[in-house]
Amino acid sequence: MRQKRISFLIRQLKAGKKEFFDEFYETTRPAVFYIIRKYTADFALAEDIMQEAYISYLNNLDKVDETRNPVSYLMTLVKNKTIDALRKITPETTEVEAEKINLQTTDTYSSDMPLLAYAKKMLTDEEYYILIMTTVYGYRRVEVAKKLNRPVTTVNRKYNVILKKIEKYYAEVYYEKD
Amino acid sequence: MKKTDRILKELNKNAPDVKDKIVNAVDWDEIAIKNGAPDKARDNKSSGRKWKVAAAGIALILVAAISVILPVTLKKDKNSVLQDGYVVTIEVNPGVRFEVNASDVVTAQTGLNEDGVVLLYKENLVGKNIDEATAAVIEKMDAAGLIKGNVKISVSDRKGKKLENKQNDVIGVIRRVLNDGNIETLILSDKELDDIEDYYEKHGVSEYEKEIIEKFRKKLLSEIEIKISGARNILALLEENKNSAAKLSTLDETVLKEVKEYCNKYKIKWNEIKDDEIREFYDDLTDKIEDLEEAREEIGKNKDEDDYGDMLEDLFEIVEEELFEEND
Repeated sequence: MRQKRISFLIRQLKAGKKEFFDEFYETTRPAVFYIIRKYTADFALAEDIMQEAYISYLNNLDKVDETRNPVSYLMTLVKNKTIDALRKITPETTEVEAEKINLQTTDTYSSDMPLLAYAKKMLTDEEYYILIMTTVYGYRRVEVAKKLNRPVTTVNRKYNVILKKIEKYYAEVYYEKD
Repeated sequence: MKKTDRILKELNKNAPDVKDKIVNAVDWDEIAIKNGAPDKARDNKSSGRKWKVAAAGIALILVAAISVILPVTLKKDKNSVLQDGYVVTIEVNPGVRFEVNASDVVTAQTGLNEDGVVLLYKENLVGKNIDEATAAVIEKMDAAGLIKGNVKISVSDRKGKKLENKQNDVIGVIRRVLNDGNIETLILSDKELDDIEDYYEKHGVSEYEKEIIEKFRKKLLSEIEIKISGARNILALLEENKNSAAKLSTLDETVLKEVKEYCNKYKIKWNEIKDDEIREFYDDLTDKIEDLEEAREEIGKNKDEDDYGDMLEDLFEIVEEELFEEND
């Protein structure tokens, strides 16, 4: 997701222009769902968490600085609401800190998202990181390069390698050719 | 479909769609009020001022004249952080204006006359602290030999009330940048502010800004087309060897020369790729054409942006990622 476009959308949302929410939602939905899915495969729960998180985000837009990575606040909100929701389901964990809860954080997507699951299994940690950051979170490769403290050329080349692998994995997972 | 979009397709297929529930559950009028927009149709006009201010506006116009140096306090008043932002205008002729939020971060930049637009061209100071942005602009003006007499400043809130402490902060920055030269800080009067605003509106300066961005966009599109054409030319030359595992360096001399010229033009380090397989290079070029075509589409979408600083930054990122493949 383009940060500048997101900043623009948030400015519109702050002005109460709900017609811009559509684009904001569709842009951020994959990343939001990805975070929830890391912890739970419960679809109904994911629905509730998504709804709560977005409503909370919109109701607290005055706390969001659209010039400074505004989506990270949404992602933090989603993660916290996911953890809170799971704590409610597991009563004995009410007094336990969130970090100690036995949450599913192993990204098992094999049944509903086989390509993602296979990519996680087959790619290196760095390759998977680049894939998720660029594809799911929408960071530009120059931004990912800064996060990794690597030259952009290196990230570009790795990205091209990842593209080829994804194409190959797609064929293997779905037994189709392009 | 772009290869990685298959991952997004999986996520979107499985993600719940609760968009309508969210839209209906939220009080959009309340959101607008909470964020300082009581009238959704408002165009941010403050009483007696026609400035277009996205957040609360404080105009800071810096005026420095070669004469008496006014005493300046550099101490920032931490207790007077404004709930709304403010606008900083620096008028040397060229004139520039910054919109600033309550955390002293620039949220928008505007050239107030044609020279101001040119001065800010290729500068994106949005997101920077106002001190940093002020220093950057003053340095640029100074380097261009523009600061010869007066540098005018004004800081006011949306109601036109002057903010002395903020003014003093900006004066302090300017004096540091100019090494305390014989610069006097003068505060722009209301009439001078109105004159600047009138010039901005009457001379269609915002249109000039659009013109510059549009020229840059067209130039970038043109360069992307040239690169796509160049890449396709290389692909055509490599067509009969596209499945070869031989090294690039073993190519026929004529073809090799073309490949090296392409690499040189787009800053691809030949030494890093000369031992790559021809088929790998062929595939990379095919992917690059796809990326460039997407960038071309994205440039077209940028037209909806209302912040020209943002638009410029987007365009420069495209140059960095897609046009030239090295970032030293």
